[in-house]
Amino acid sequence: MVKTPTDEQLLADHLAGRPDAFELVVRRHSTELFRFVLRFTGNSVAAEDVVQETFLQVHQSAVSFDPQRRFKPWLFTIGANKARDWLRTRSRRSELPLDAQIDGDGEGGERSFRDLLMSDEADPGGDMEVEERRRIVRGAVEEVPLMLREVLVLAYYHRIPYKDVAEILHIPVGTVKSRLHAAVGYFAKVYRERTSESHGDPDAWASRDGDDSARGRGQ
Amino acid sequence: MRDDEIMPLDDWILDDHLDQLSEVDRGRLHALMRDDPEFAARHRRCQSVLEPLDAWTTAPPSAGMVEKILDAIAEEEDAAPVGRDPNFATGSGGYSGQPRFSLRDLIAVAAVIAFFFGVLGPSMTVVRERSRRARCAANLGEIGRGLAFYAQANSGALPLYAAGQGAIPTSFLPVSAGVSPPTATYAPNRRHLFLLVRFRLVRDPQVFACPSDGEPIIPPGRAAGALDDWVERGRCSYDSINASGPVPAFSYRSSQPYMADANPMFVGGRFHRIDPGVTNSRNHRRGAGQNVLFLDGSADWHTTPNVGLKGDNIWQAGSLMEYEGTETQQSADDTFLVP
Repeated sequence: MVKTPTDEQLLADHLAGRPDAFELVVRRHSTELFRFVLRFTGNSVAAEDVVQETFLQVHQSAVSFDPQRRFKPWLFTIGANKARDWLRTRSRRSELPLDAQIDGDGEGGERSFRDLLMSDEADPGGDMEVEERRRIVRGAVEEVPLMLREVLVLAYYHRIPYKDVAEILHIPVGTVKSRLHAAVGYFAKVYRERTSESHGDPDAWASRDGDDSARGRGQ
Repeated sequence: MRDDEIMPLDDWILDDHLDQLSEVDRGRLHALMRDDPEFAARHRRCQSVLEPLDAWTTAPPSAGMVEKILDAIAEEEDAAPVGRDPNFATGSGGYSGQPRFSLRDLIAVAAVIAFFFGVLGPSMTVVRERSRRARCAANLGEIGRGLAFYAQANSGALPLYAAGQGAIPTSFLPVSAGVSPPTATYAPNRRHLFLLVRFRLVRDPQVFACPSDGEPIIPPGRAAGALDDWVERGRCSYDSINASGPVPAFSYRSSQPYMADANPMFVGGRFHRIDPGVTNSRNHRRGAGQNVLFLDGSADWHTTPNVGLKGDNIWQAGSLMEYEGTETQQSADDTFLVP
């Protein structure tokens, strides 16, 4: 049986001159990294650019990679930093709202920026209710403060183990858990405000202190 | 089920949902669900909160993304092969192992260095101060994120530490925005801010030290978690809204200042009527201005203190020029930053 090489082995192979090793790394991680960055930025074009910049950075810095560390948290650390840079750059630019009118005579037939955008969502398959729900959830997640949202995206949507999230964000594991807890609570509150009917009980994720020592359960 | 058991159990439910529980803990959780109807109901409530999150699915990247990435890498490789520095090639004309410099080379290099120090020295001071200003604004930005986290956990309220509540609070005070804490006795203003350090809501306590002004926030050998106040008053470089008066709630939509470099009216914690010629904080060089953190979490540099709502001066309570120790914000639009 052929054993699949680890990311760390592939990076070492790349540095040793094996031509297709880095390509395998890119093919292995680009889709997951794209989905992660897309949830961060909310913009598929920007997400593809950020993913490309991330792999270029990894390629340039490959010689400095510590082989004792694991590759994936390193990759996502770089990806998260690039995504934050993109968000910062965007916030410095003056921007028009997506529904700002860009042409038309004011008597119907106007188009907005939103009409020009490709959808960043999965194909709704024609189910309007599902699509509407997805839109509300996306809006509610995007309202979660960035510091909490990055934990939510990594730990919840990408199921990345807490210790890897801690490594990616350079925070203690206890802080990852408390931020994830707070992020879910924040989301539930916003989601409830945005939907008229009751969806769950946000108080089920009542706020609590940030003392990580309060959680003594070992894992 | 006791209240104090609820939090860890909520964590278990979330961990179970994310497949992050050990086998042993998963077994214990499922046994609890089976045997404790109250916990089973709580489990269902938590699941109903988590379930909508799964509705946000994302589209895959475009079909050509990987090829674009590989093309960009190939271009970069052509421009500068990674790991191979041509300057270090061995052989004829290459790096021979021992650098050789003549005395003339050394004198020329020393002259160039002296020239640059002479010409660039003064401007480097300006550059350094600008860098400190930028780091100071970044500090306030980080504090703003900590405030957002605190406020999220406290119904929008900003940090408020009530004296007489016990030596060190073990949790956030359950104080809602605009509501006084259970005791009428307030702590010194900067003590409220220490809650962000105490509960590790900022990544590094040192963010409370302005790079142009501050000393180490937590002295070597001391643990922030064991403290409930700054070791010395002067170690926190920033002043915040007077918590003895009406304090607004955190809001991403508010442009009211919450905190800034130190108020120049207070020297060593004591009030001094301001010199009319000095209007800006003394934290930065020649009182050129101050960084201000607003309630929406943004922080930036201002060369005037009139940055409150409707041009309010953030160093004064209303338009009062005196401070007897009891003056606070004079209205909802007023901002008065004190140590």
